[in-house]
Amino acid sequence: MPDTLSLYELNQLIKSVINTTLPERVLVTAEIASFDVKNHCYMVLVDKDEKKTTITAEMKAVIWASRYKALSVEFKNATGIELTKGIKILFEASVNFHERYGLKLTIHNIDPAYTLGELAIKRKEILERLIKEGLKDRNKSLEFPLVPQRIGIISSPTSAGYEDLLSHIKNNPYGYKFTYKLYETLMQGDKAEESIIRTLNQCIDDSVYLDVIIMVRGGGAQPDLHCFDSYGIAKTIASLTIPFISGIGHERDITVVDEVANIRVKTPTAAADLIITRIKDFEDRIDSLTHSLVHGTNKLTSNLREWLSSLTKNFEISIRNELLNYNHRLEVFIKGLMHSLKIIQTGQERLRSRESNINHLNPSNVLKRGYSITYKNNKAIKSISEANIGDSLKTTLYKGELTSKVERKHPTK
Amino acid sequence: MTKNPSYKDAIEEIESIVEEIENETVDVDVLAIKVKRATFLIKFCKEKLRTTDTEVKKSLKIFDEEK
Repeated sequence: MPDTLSLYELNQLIKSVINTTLPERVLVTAEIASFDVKNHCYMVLVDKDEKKTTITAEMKAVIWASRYKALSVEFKNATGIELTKGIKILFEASVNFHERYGLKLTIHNIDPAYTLGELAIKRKEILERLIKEGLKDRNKSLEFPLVPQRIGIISSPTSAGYEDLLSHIKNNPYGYKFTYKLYETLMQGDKAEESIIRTLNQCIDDSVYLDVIIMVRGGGAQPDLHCFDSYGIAKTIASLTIPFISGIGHERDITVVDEVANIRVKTPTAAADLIITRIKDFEDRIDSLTHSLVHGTNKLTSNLREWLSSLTKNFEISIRNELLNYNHRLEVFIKGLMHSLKIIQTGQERLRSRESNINHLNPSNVLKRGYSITYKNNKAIKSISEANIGDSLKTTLYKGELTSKVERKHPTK
Repeated sequence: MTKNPSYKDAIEEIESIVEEIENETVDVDVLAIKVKRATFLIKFCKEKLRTTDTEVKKSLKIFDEEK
């Protein structure tokens, strides 16, 4: 049985083994499982199995305040994200064992390139999953409204981005009016993802009253866009029924949220410009249609006027011709009528004259005037040669008859 | 039509009227009615662009629009 050691002696032994067997600095990769800055930066680092469900190793780590200040700025400048819970890091550390406080890693340097690579891998995995589930382009497939006048804004109310967006849409040079509602959310930190998903769900509830959703971030030169590489946020965006505009973008990074957005813009001002331009395009279209309407109507009415005028002219000509025709026919008719009248008149005159003649010829009228008719053997005689001396003659007078005897004959002188 | 049309419906109707007029396929008897309708829709759209939708504001419970 070995010698009995006190705990202190044991820990001294462990410390000595560590110090003598391990190099002074080791390069290690791990995920930050907890992160706390209280002057010094205290972390819990973990390793997980392939499925990333089970922790296979765990150790405390510290970055001393003197080093943390420079290291955190360097890291953020290089990666665009804060050192925080959930990210994977490659770091240079010394393994320290303290007899009372146990094992701990002291981090001296962190390699941002590794984290960037890890983030890119994580982003790629999320995107692949979204593609596989048919979610990546779902919001992109939504038709962008002609007039996005009712806007849901996801942001933090005090952010410079929100102010920029509002100021631009409110002071648009065309006087367009907007209805907008702010959906407040945290835009960074480890609670941001949950907060953004909750806010997006509120937008889904209100989507019948909204045309678009714009997400703008807080601003600042070095934004932490880490939380926007989120499967949960992307999935919620995919379930929106109105277009989602991502205004969280950054020159350098395209996050998962940018990838699933209907449109991605680089700044809140660009988001405002996009909305205003869209409405201006609509109004330009209306103005152009107004011009076409006026022009087309003028042309049409002018054509109609010409047509009517030519129709009237033609009508006048045809009426005139018709009238002339009628007139002519009337004249012919009247002429004919006059001629007929003349004929009738002549006829009448003739008739009258004939009547008069007939009257004259009526023997009774002749007798009335003192003439008489002499008959021999009931035959009127016109010459003395038809009668002989001694013949008995009958003479018809206007009134009555005489019977006489021829005594003498006197030839006409 | 008593209900206000959407921007999309409005512009589509205006476009259809303008097309009929430009192609001179519009019946002369209804030309005035069509022009009147298109004019109404144009005016409606232009006014709506410059009007805040109070109904929507009410529905979204927005009370601090001018904040």
